Amino acid sequence: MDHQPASPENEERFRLAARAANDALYDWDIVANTVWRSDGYQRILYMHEPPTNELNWLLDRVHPDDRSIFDSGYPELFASRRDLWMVEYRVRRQDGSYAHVIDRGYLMRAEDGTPLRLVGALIDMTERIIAESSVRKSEARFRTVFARAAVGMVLVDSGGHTLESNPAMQYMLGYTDEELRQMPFTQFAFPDDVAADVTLAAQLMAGHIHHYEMEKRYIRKDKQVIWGRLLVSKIPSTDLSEPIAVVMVEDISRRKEAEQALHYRDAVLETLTRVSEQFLRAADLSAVIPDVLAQLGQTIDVSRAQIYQTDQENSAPETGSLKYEWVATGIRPMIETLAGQNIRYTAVGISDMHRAADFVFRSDHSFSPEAQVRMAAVGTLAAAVLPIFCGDTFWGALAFSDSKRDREWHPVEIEMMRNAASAFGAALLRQRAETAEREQRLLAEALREGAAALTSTLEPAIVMARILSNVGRVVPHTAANIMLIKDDVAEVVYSQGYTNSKTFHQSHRFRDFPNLCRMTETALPVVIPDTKLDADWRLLPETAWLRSYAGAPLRVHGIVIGFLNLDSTIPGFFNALHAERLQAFADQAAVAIENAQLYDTLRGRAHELEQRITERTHDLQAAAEVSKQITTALDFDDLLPQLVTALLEKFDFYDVSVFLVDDTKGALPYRPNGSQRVQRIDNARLQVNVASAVIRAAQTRQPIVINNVFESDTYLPDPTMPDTKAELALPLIIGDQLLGVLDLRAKQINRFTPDCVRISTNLAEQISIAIRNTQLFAEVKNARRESEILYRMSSTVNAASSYPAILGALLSEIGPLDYGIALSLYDDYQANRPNGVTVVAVADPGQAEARDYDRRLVFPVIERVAIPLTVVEDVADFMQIDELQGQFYQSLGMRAMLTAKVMLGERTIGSLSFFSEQPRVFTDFERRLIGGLAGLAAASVERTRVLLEAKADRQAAEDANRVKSQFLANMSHELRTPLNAILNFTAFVADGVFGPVNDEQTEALQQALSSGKHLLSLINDILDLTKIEVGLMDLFIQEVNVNEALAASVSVAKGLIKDKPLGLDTDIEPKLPPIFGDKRRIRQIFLNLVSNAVKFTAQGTIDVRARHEADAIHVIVRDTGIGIAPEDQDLIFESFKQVSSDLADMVGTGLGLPISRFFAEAHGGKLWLESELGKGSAFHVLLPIRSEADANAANTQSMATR
Amino acid sequence: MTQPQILYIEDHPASRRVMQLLLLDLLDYTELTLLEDTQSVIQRLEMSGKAFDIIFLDLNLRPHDGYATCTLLRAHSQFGHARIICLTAEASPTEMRKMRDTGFDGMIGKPLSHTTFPEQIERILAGEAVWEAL
Repeated sequence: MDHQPASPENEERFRLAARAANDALYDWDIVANTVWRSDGYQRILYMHEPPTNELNWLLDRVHPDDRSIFDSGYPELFASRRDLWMVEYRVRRQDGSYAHVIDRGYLMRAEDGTPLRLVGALIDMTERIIAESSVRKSEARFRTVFARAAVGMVLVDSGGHTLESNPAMQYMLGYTDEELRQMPFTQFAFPDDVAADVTLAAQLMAGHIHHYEMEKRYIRKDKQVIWGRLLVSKIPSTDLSEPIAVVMVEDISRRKEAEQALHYRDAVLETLTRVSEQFLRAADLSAVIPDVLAQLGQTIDVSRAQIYQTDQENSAPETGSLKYEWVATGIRPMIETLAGQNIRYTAVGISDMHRAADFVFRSDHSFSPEAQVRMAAVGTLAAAVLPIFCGDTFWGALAFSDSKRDREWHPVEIEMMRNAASAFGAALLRQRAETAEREQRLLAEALREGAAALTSTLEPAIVMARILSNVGRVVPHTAANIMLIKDDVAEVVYSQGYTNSKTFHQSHRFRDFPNLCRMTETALPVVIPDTKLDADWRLLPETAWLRSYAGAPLRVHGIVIGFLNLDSTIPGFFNALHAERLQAFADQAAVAIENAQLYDTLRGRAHELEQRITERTHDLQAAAEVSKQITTALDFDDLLPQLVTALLEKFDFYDVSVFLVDDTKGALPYRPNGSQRVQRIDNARLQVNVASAVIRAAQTRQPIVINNVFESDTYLPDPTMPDTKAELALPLIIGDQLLGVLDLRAKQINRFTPDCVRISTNLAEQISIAIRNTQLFAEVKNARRESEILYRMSSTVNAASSYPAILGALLSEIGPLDYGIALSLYDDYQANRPNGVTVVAVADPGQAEARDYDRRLVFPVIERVAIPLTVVEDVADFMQIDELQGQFYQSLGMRAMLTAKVMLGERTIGSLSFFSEQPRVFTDFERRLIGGLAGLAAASVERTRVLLEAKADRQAAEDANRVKSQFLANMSHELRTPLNAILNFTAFVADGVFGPVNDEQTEALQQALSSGKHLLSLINDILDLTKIEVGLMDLFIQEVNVNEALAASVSVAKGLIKDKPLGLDTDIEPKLPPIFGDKRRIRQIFLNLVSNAVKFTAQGTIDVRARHEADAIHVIVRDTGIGIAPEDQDLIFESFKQVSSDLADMVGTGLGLPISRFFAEAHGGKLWLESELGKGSAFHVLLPIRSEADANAANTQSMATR
Repeated sequence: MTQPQILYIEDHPASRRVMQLLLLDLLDYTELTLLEDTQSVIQRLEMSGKAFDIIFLDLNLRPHDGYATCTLLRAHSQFGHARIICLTAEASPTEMRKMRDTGFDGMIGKPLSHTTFPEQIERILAGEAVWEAL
């Protein structure tokens, strides 16, 4: 064959064809060894110049690694009998990059086989090869996501079998990939959750929904149950194989646990708050107890809640009675079988509780063997018993038991039980305080009125009569008499209520009467509750009816001058309290009797100077006036100023001062109320040898009289009162207790005559009584105030959610203080640090806002000792015990501290302190208060800790979510971008843009294209799942032409029908008004409905209607398909109700109805179904016509609520 | 009708190549300018002396990102009248609102579809606001 082309025309045609084909063609004349190359090389190699015909022109440009192809390839080809030449190699382009080409040629041979020429073409495969490598890279990236994702991922087939799991999933479940593959998922799914999952999975695989999410439990290999949040997405199959699903599982066990724990805690604490409120408000405590027990019992789900009351309040109660009981449904009340009486405390686990200074929580692990046996007998599996203290007295116990399960009591339950017991105790205390206050008021009034009656006259007979007529208001009785002592005889001078008063009025040798002897010896009252049971009782025939006795000595200056006796016909009538009151009254009576006798004596000495009598009776009457006045005061704060004023008014004294002994223990905080004349004597001054009359009176407990200061050796002048000529200092004494000193000064020498001293001493006694009365009254008032403060606080403090807020709440109820409050928590409570203390909140004096104090301090180390209350009155003293510690306090500016332990159950979690910058004495009230506050703080601290932890957990979960979402979003972006190249290049090649492709290549390229689209839908899903997870699904609002959107869907649907015997009718109102919405999503809804109709209708007609109705557009897609059974109609929508979904609007990915409904509703519209099984379905969509602003506002709002 | 002038700024080489193939090989457009970064973008475009009808912008551009570049172009007397379209793989409503607020006339999501892109570009030229993603 000639090596030249057949003819010039042929050659020209060939060249033209070559140019038209735009390919790189060559024609190598092997014999002549010349080459012709077409201009197509320019295109492949990006050259501006056409190729030359030099032999090595191409070879020079071939990649060095590929040149061997030619070195060995040509000889092989020539030597063989083949005539097809096909090799791949790289050729350097003008810009230095390499083009991948396929060199495909045809070898022409002579008849003897000698190669003559090689004609061929270079096909540029660069784009395709890049595309293929991109697909590989994308897949590799997906594999990386799969392998490295923080969430568990697993691929499952339609039967629920694991095809592949990622390491995170294996770690989460504790199984290996191999194990997971070999077991059905039901084996590691929690049985209760399987049904819901299976239902959703079936819908997913059937194509009704595109993906779903749920929270379900898994059983790990170690049998531990964990919570997972699932996102299950179907991967549409590209070939005939079964579809598979991707399951993403996030371990949410901690969140679930925290949530559940938090809910439970909230419920428990809410009950506690409610119960405390009930206790606080209850007028009658016993009326609310049944309801309270029911609430407590139900909240912590126990079988019984009981209250035991100690039979006798003493130091070691051994028995008690079951007073109240609540039982759960189906539990037999114990109260019926026990009759509730005299239960041995050792048998019910209450023994020894009274010894605990602080609350003791007792669980079933610490009960005595006897109690455990008894509990087992009534079927109790777990129990908790908490003591109830009323003030410092052990009152009884609150008990809970569970017959259904053995349980570890949760700290918050213990807290609730403990607080309920303490609230109950406080309520009892309050009730008692109220009763006591009422009684004390009545008593004080009775005493005041009695005193008023007694002091209004000085006539002995009238005084006696008034004593007996008034004593009944203080202590009720059947009969009463007054005896006065003369030598060794007690004479009944006045009586009331005795039938045979004549014989009764006689003198008794009181040695014959042990009760009278005892009163004389001890100067204390005597009570004989039942005279028949008292061996010493001297029974007189005429008073045989007398069954109960109370008597009080009439004391004047500590000497018994007589007796006030009360008798009752009722055995056991009088008690110790009566005796105490009787004595208070008797003290007043004694002074009145003494005054009356004094008056009587003075009158009897009428022959003496008229003037002196007048003077003394004046003093006596003035004293009576003063005592009348002071006995009307109930309030301690009013008493002393009133007294001072009255004394100055009624007598012509120069000065009157009251000094009070500053015995802090039990003393009240005393505010001078503007009076300069009331001072405190501190204990140290009482020890001084050289002392004023006041100090000496306090030391000797005797009146100190200085009638002429110029002649006295012991007078200590007071420069503030230079005119003092005489001074009388009178000790104020009650029983053994020195209350203070009354100091009187006069400008006249010899002002204090013996009579005057005697009258004044009587007056001082009355003043002492009055002081004690007001003190008693103030004490009950304080007790009540204390219980009220604690009650009010419990509700405020329970609402606090940070440590400073707890102190803030405490402060807001107490009011401004002259000391600070600090709340410290041990580190092992807050975090996992074994030692040390962190002060978490400090409130400064007078400041109602508390602040965080993050500094670690050493000072509460002393709280580690087992004392519930630590008191440091002055650090200077404390330094002798621990100098280092003391210096540390001083460096903090703390001089005095009162610290109570904050206990949670039996565990000390920290401390609450009052601290002061000045040395300070803490009153009993403050000591009790801090104890109460510490108890209150415990519950709030625990609650706060749980809240803060849960908040931290949530924050951590949110952070993790955000990081994960960001990661996935980036990943998706990274994957989508190369897909732009992959999909398009592949399409170009398949479309023959780069030259002809044969069928085999076309099929391969179509495979690549469909794989690429598959990958895109997978990426879309991942991106969408991310959005769903973070709740970021929203709409892009723009004007939407509904006609266009419908037309587009109908056009796609027509393409889907293909060969099916299906008609598609449209009845769409032309020129529907535009609506504002997300165009992509609205199209998605329509397309979904129409393509579903096509998919599920075998034959018949699909009818698409659209109408403008009022302010909405109504679209109906009706088919003649299989229809949907009524019971399934909700189901096809329901599964997705809580998922905001976004799915690619690609045709044929089987978009779910729930998603469409989601978007319809997101547009403020509706999507619903009318269907009859076997007759077809009609899907309705109603989209409201809204303004752009309204649509945007609605979208923003729904984003905010998600 | 004169050929529309089209500018595409994109850092991803394969994406530039896709645009080149779509517009010049698949469709009949002839006037395509490609830039791979936004360094001195205004000066470079001014030097080209061209007035663009459509400007396609990627978002991940350096040193100025797509939003900044859009703002620069929109403010420019010569380029401000062009249809500025975002070509991005981040087609969330949040981003889309940001684009609209920045001054983009539309958005086409990546990957581009060689079947819908021809009519999308025609609709853009006709003045329609195209906000579409695959």
